[in-house]
Amino acid sequence: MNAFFLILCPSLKEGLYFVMIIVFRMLVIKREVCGYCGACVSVCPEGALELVDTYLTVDPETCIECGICARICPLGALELKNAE
Amino acid sequence: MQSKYNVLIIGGGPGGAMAGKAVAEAGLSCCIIEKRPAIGAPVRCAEGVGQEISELVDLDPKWISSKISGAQLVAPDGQILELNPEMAGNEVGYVLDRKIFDRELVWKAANAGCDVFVKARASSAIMKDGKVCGAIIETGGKTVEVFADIVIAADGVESKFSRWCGIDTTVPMAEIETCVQYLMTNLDIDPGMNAFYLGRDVAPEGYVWIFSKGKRTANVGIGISGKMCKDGKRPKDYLDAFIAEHLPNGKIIELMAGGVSACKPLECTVADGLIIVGDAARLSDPITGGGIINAMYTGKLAGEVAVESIATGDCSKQALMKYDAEWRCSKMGKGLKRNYQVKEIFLKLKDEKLNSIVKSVNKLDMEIFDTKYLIRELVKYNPWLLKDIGTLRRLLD
Ligand SMILES: Cc1cc2nc3c(=O)[nH]c(=O)nc-3n(C[C@H](O)[C@H](O)[C@H](O)COP(=O)(O)OP(=O)(O)OC[C@H]3O[C@@H](n4cnc5c(N)ncnc54)[C@H](O)[C@@H]3O)c2cc1C
Ligand code: SF4
Ligand code: SF4
Repeated sequence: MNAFFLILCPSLKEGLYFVMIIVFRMLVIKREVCGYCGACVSVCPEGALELVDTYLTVDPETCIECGICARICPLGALELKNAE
Repeated sequence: MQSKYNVLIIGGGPGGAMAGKAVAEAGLSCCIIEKRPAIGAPVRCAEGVGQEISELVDLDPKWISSKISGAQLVAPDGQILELNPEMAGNEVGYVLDRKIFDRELVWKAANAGCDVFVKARASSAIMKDGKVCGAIIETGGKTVEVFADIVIAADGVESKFSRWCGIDTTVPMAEIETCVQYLMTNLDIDPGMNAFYLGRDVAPEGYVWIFSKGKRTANVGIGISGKMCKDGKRPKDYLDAFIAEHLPNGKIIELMAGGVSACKPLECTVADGLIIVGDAARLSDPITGGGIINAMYTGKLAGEVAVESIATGDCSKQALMKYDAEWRCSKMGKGLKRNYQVKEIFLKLKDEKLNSIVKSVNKLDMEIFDTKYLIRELVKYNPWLLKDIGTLRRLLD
């Protein structure tokens, strides 16, 4: 899941319109910063990360964008980015 | 690579190597697969071990960067507590050269008859009726299936293989020590001493280490709790600040990052056809982060239990539980349990209290250094310890 929907219905009474904001979040790997240590792999609750030798991969289908990996990365190589 | 072995070992670290050696020496077929192109490199470790490593392997001087005869613990206020072997019993140790050490351990396995493949990565488990039967392996652009009576997961901190077998190996965010280390040279250090620096400002819920790698050279690193890590306050930020203050003339010749688990071991370290060893089973020490010896010990034990189980034709979880039960009641298992409790206590201590502890330890008669004496005396000088922390009371009995 790599999209997250926020649905606001400011005037349910009329039921005529609603505002839908779609926030796409995705995990970005800064390869030039990553030290391929595997710390992020060990904390990912979904098992979405994998180190292929020195190449970190994220499976966007399993990643729930919880941000734990980005939080603990010793070098700050991971970032959750928003795009609207 | 054969398509079937008695034992398939995922990972060529110290845990995997010891397992491979034990299985091959018993005359069974086995294979170690390592995803990296070189065993032991890059090093993700501070390389410190206690002298008890010699119970597991005959030490070769080429593996040793430095012999350690004592350590310094530096309290948040700068007081130094000297831990010398005379007072700490036999706790001398070594700083290894793991590029050589890890490789030689794998050589020992290979010489005993174990197959070894590098740049061969397990990408999933082969399961049949809930039993682990082998692994899918990516190597040289090919995908191959390798079957085994028993798979030993020795895949280190990432611990993905057990996950693919349905075992949750996730390390809680607060219990990963997130680490950065430099190999530094041009340092004025005593080559026979290791140093540990404590304190919230130095390394929150962790410590900075200086492990001597010989003359004027050392592994200088830091581990902090994942919970304390955020932008601008990552281990690298703390370490750079420490170096600017304490080792301004040092030169950095290597950088590495890493993660060490400080959580409890996995609830169960076996499954049908599977044994989990070392870091993959979350067996590094919750206080020091040391895991080399634990990986070696459990790797060897896993190899031995695998051999016995294959001989009796029973590789079920129940048969393999012997491994789980044995390490839990070993010295290592008990030590892990105790140190987890001690860690919980120390995490709650404010810096002032740490200072006060170090001050009182400095007053102790180090001729009669043993843990109980230490705790009793500590409590004498710091009675709040007992009030604050019920667990210490239990450790005193
Ligand atoms: C910064 C830092 C400092 C440390 N300092 C010390 C210390 O001073 N003293 C100490 O005792 N311990 C220390 N440790 C811990 C120590 O490094 C580990 O406990 C030890 O290496 C564990 O051995 P292992 O065999 O279980 O795993 P590892 O040594 O991690 O070996 C696992 C191997 O498996 C391979 N692998 C992983 N996945 C796969 C796959 N899918 N397929 C094939 N191969 C795979 C990896 O590439 C790796 O080579 C430190 C750790 C860190 C990060
Ligand atoms: S924790 Fe950071 S440095 Fe380590 S592998 Fe993950 S992204 Fe790379
Ligand atoms: S954001 Fe969460 S789910 Fe996604 S890779 Fe990181 S830890 Fe895993």
